[in-house]
Amino acid sequence: MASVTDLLLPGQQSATLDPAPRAMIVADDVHINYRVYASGKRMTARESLTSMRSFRGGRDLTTVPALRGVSFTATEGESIGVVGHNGSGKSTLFRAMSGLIPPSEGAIYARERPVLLGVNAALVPELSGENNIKLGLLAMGFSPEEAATRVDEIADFAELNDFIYHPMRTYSSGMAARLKFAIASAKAHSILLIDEALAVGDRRFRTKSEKRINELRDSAGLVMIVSHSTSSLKQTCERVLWVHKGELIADGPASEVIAEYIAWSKKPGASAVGAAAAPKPRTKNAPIAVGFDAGSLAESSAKDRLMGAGPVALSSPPEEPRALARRDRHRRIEQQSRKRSVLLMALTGVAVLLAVAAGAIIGTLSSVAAPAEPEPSVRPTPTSPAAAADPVIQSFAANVATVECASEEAEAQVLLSWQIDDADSVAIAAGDAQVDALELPLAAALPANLSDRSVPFSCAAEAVVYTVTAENADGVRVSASTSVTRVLPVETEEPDYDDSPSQPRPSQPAEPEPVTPPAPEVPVEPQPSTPPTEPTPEPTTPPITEPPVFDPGTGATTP
Amino acid sequence: MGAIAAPSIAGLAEVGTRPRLSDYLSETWRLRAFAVRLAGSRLISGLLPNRLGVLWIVLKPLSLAIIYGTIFHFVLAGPARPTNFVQYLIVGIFVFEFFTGCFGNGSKAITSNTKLVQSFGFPRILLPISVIAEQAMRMVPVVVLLGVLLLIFGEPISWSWLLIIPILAVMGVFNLGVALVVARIAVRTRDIQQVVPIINRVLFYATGIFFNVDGALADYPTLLTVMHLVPTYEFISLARDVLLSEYSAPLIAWIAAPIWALVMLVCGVIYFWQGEPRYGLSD
Repeated sequence: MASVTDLLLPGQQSATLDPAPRAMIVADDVHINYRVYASGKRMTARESLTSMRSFRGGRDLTTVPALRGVSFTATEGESIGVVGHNGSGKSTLFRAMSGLIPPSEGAIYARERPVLLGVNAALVPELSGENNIKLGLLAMGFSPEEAATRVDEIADFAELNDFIYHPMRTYSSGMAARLKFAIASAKAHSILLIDEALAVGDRRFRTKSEKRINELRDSAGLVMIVSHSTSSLKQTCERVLWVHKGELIADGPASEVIAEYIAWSKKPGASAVGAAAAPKPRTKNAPIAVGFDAGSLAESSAKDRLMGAGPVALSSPPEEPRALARRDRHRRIEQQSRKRSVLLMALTGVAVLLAVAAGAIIGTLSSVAAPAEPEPSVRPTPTSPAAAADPVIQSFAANVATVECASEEAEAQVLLSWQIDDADSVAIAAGDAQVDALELPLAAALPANLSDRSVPFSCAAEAVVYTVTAENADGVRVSASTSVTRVLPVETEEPDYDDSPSQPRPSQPAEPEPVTPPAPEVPVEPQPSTPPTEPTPEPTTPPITEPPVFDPGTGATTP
Repeated sequence: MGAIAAPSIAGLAEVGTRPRLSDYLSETWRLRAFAVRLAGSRLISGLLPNRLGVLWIVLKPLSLAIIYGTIFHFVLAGPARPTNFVQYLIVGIFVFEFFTGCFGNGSKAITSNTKLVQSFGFPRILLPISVIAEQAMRMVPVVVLLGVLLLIFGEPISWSWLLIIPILAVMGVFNLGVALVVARIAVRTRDIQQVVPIINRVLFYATGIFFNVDGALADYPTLLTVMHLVPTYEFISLARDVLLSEYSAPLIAWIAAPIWALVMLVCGVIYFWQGEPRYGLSD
């Protein structure tokens, strides 16, 4: 047992003058709290389904202390075993030492980054063992040439034979463990943390690996082993740590600690995980004399960000600077997490604002998009009111559908009425088909609502199509047309065809020159869009000597 | 008892803290062979279980090109339809594939290699780098196929085709930056892996893979400028510029592409390095 004064020797001196071996790992009051997304109590299936937790995405954190103030020093050339029942924190300690889990309090110092070999640490499962060896060697810093030359050696050591070319996922746990051990132990001068790897190999491999561990230890490495196989620990290690419920309760020669451990674990109920009733085991190897030197730590404050905070007297008990540093660290962490949550909230706010802004931009863009469309498609204006700014022709009609002409040379008057919304300029035109009235106006610059505008009707054509075209400020034009047909006074009558709308149709194309009475069977039926008398939509093409035909055709297109 | 007298921590480094950036980068450079090796064996092991093996590298973008080509051949008309539609489309899809692969796999770079991270103490940045390296290896047959297809569709071969290599290299740098950022985010917030496909989709449309951005947005100059600044657009339009005779990239693409790559790389490296001690926590 080292005396307290020994422990408090200034670090620099002890490093240079002392023949004592160099420290490889120093664990300084390591605390680790796992944060788990769990309720921490028993839940029925129904509860866990209905609880709000699953909706919040599992933000409910429970803190579970896995390590509670573990301190020890391991020096070069040692091989240290770690015992403890399942869940006592052994593996957590190892993961913290290899830097996988940052301690929530305290710190771990190491000469070189420790390599952790875990039973469940597969490398790259889908790759072959050979590839995994190469990758592992490269990852440990071997050059590609070195790695290539050492592959065979490692494969031989792992005794995988032909399996070395199979994917690693096909390996049995023992084979995988052998390979992992072989890879990790390929490099000397490293701190090797072995997590139960020895328990899985077969007997032959176990002796081989014990030999390899001894070699490593001799070449100034440090080997730490977690194992439940106390017999193999006794053979490979001369020092054993006993971890119980996250605390280091024994640290001493392997045989003594293991004997105590075995004695304790034979007591009934001793090994229950987290059993509150079980008393803390008593041991004469309690780690009071952990080889940790607080004074040297304080001296190397340039290196140590945490201890640099407060002046530390060499003579003061080691707990005091540690406590100071711990408090300091705790505060800093608290501050950081507060800062982070504020930042997160601000970021969320900004994100929401951005989303709203993006929505607004998209909204405005889409409202602007409509008029600027390069080619607005055909739109049935009279019936459907279109987009806000477009002109809409509510109605456009002539006062008569037919005009009685004395002769083909005669002129008549037709009265047109229209009602147009949102129009800037309005023009009308006459022709034998619908035209753009603004291009060929009969009259332009007309008011948007007008009734009984008189326009000339020429009896020369068999029908005249009057078009009204309206244009809005943006230049969007809408047209509507109505057609007026003449009635030549050959035989004037407008009797009784209401009953037979179907008859005229077959008769018309068949007899192109019907000067006879039966022909003028003009149906007065209000068929909306197409001239009912002709099967074709063009009202102008039919035979010239047509019987008086009436068709109130309306159609509208935009140019 | 721990019978060791007074060891000092001189010469020890605190475990679980990040190294200095310069040390970190030099260590990364020293172990670069690891990233390349990992990329190569990943690529091969990913292809071996498939019957068609390496063909899948080219079949995937090819089938995408056929699907999009067929659909948008009928849908697209007017100014949004690019001239030489087929060539335009295949260059877009093949080059964009590079980004998709890097982005998607980059987000899983750490989380899918947890065991490796927990076994060895290499700089974690090597994992995203190996993702980019793997995707770059995948691009080789894709680019060859692209050249062959362009020849088949009657694109005249020219020396400017060689420029596709530096352009893809710069794009790789950009992709690395993006992968570094998402890789770190994914460790703490797995949700990002759900978001990645959405972002990919948005960029796919924003980049104008199958339509002509300039034609489609001719009436919205502001929006067009924004689209021109989309990083994937820069790289793809540069690729089109050098490969297609009838397309020329806007000047802004030539300027913005290297800037994007550089900015993304620096941000990515620093951001990733800052999270270095915590990557082993993911499981």
